[in-house]
Amino acid sequence: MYSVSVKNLKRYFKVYKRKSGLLPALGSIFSRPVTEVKAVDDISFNIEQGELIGFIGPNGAGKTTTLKCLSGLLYPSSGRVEVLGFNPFERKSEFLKEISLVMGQKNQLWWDLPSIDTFRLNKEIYELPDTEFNSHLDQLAKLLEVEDLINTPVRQLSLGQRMKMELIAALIHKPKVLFLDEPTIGLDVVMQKKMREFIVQYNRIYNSTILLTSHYMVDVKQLCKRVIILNKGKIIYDGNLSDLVDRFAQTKLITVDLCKNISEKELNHLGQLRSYQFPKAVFNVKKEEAVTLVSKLLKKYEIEDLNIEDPEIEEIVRTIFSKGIHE
Amino acid sequence: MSKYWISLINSISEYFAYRLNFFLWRLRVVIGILITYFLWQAVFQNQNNVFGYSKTGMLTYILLITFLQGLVLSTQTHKIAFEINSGDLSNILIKPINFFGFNIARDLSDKIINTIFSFIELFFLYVVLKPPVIVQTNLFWLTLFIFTAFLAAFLYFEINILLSFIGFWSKETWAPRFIFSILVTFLAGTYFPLDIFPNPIYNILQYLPFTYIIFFPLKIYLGGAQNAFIIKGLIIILFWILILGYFLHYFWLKGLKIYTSEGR
Amino acid sequence: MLKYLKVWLILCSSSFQSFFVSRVGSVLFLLGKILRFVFFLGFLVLLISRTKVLSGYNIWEAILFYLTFNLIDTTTQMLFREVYRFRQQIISGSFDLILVKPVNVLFRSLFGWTDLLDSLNIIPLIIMIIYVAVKTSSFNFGSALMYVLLVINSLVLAMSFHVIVLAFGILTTEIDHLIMIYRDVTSMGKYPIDIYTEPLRSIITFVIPVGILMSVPTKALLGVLNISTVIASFLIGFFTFIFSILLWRYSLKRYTSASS
Repeated sequence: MYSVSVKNLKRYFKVYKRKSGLLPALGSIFSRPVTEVKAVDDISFNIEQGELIGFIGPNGAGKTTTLKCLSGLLYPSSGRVEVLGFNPFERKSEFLKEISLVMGQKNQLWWDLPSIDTFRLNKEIYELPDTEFNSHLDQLAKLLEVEDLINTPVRQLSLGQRMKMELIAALIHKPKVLFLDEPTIGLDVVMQKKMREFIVQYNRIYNSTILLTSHYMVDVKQLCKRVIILNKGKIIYDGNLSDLVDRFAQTKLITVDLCKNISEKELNHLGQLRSYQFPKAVFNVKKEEAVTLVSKLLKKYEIEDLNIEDPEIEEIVRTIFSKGIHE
Repeated sequence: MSKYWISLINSISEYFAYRLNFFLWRLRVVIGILITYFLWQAVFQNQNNVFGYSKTGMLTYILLITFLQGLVLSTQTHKIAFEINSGDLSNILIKPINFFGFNIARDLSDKIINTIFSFIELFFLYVVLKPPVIVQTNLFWLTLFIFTAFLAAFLYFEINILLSFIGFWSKETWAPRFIFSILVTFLAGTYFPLDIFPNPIYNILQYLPFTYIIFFPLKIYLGGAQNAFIIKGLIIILFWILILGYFLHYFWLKGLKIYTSEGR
Repeated sequence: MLKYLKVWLILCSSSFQSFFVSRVGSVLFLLGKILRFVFFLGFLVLLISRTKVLSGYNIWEAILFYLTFNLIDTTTQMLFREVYRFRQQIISGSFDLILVKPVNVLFRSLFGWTDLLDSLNIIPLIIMIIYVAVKTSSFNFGSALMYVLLVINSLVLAMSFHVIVLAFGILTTEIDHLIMIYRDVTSMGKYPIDIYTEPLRSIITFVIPVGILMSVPTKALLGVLNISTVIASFLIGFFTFIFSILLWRYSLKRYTSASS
């Protein structure tokens, strides 16, 4: 049995448009134009227990909508969704006890109270025995390095600390499936890194299925083996990150360290020069032209060092989003 | 059960985060009562019987509103509308906890704190103003008073959640609440007992839920209410509680369907 | 000055547009206010017709007090609606954004949100006041002029109270209900202040000048006001205004930005 299984999921929204200005506002009394937005448009995928999988895509691609359908917050327009064998939308107690959802922009913590009060409430809500609650809280607090902050009122915590507390609150019942919606949003770089480390660790220790959305490529690159790329409600890629590079990288980056200063014009003549600051020159050329360029370079100039790389994943994904897929 | 208990405890703790604000809120309640009190005191300056009420009866009625303000009118259910519109409702939906149970717990915290304060204030008001008051000693009237006050609290709770459910359909949740608060001010009896209205109006009011939020329990406290009044009143309030309970259930399911089809 | 007029007009226009954005809500709010007005008027008539409360005033005179109260209360609410949202701006830190703009901060905090919808209530109120004033026998041109001047004085006084509330909003961010306490207390002015018993009557005439705010203009119109009370009213209006401005300046110096 799959941990998560989605078949032909569709989720459409109606959106009312409003124009600015006084007269159009007057006009809106009589009619409001409606458009239908296909937030999720016929997607299918399966996820095994223990997988850590990333959803990437630009704003409005349908990432959050998908997560909400999976956690039972959104009723699908059509299609079949199954999580741990349950239909999420029925929101059965047995189902809710096994899942958790963290949204980077929303919080469940009681704002004016210390985090521990939210944890205690969750202990009762998820009916955890004392021993399990205590040991698990200790573990999580240690992993996230917030042991001495659980008695501080939430409103006095920094954004990063608060996010950690949100995670503890969401994980206190050891959910089998965890949905993370933009868990690193708004955090500083150091905190983002720590958060990522924690997610990987948590996944390894408890073998929970983790689905995460992000629009920071770094998150996905460092966390997930498998990614699902969404654009305009459709899946445009589902597979391993490394395959993504093989399949979609159309260019290679060639970096050379030259021994003598050669004019930029001359270099540019050989192939598309991306940057040049003596002694380092970087070329960005089509895959099939790479070999020719390298042999030319080696033949013509004295070269200290040479390096051939695939372009950054960010760049590949950006190309996919802006131009669509060209296999 | 204990998850609702902890919800209640947490809600109470929240109050202590903004103590000054809470004291000012209580000050508002007391000022409101005092204003009504002084008006009626002025009315009774030149006469001893107005609309069939003695000075003692009327001032007791007004002062006891403080208590019902705590027990009946205190609520946090207006937060639900906000939670629906902001999407924070998801926090409850995603967990194995009953929505209504959680809200009852949260409201109880409000009622407990405000009721305790109302007792303290009533004591001070009594000491400072030394008003002539009726202290009901008959156990039957007292019990019936408390019982009907609890029914009133439940009725008020239901109406308020229904008002918040408007949030499922519209962002304009404050305007209906504003109108409701005006109706409560005048038609529930927070300003004056309802039977000072001319008979034709009072006869209609008897069948509306507002009457049972404040006026009905207080009238019973003052004692001497006729059996027919009490029995009729109990039937009507129970009718409203049941019918609104049904609406609550119905609109909750309907609203949830909309909430989960829009996604906030 | 022209700049401020322009800014105010734009602010008005955006508030007016928001009426169309939430048309159902706005209409309901308007209806609610009318409902409240009518309910209370009914209660007032009921009270006067059945009791001897009004210490010498007849029913039309009492209604005149009530109408004047509504005129001052509604105009104040219409002009200074922004004050009700002020605490939120302090807490959220958006007050900082107001501070850095080259527009007078006090002007922006007082007049930032003019609830033009209320003006729909003000016009019928003025018509009713004129109708009732003519109906009461003591009406003449001199007293009418004095009435208008004293209503303006009341608006200045009301504005000063709003400035004081703003200043407190900056000094202690915890206070939420202060403006509502102002509303509650001034609501005592729905009736002629003379009905209340001493010492309450003196307190709400001079200490918390509800009487000057709400009752004095009507009394002038009815010709039952002596000259010393008129002078006292203008003086209290003037000095409260000066005090509020000084308090506001003091509070700005103590402002500690909340946003982080």
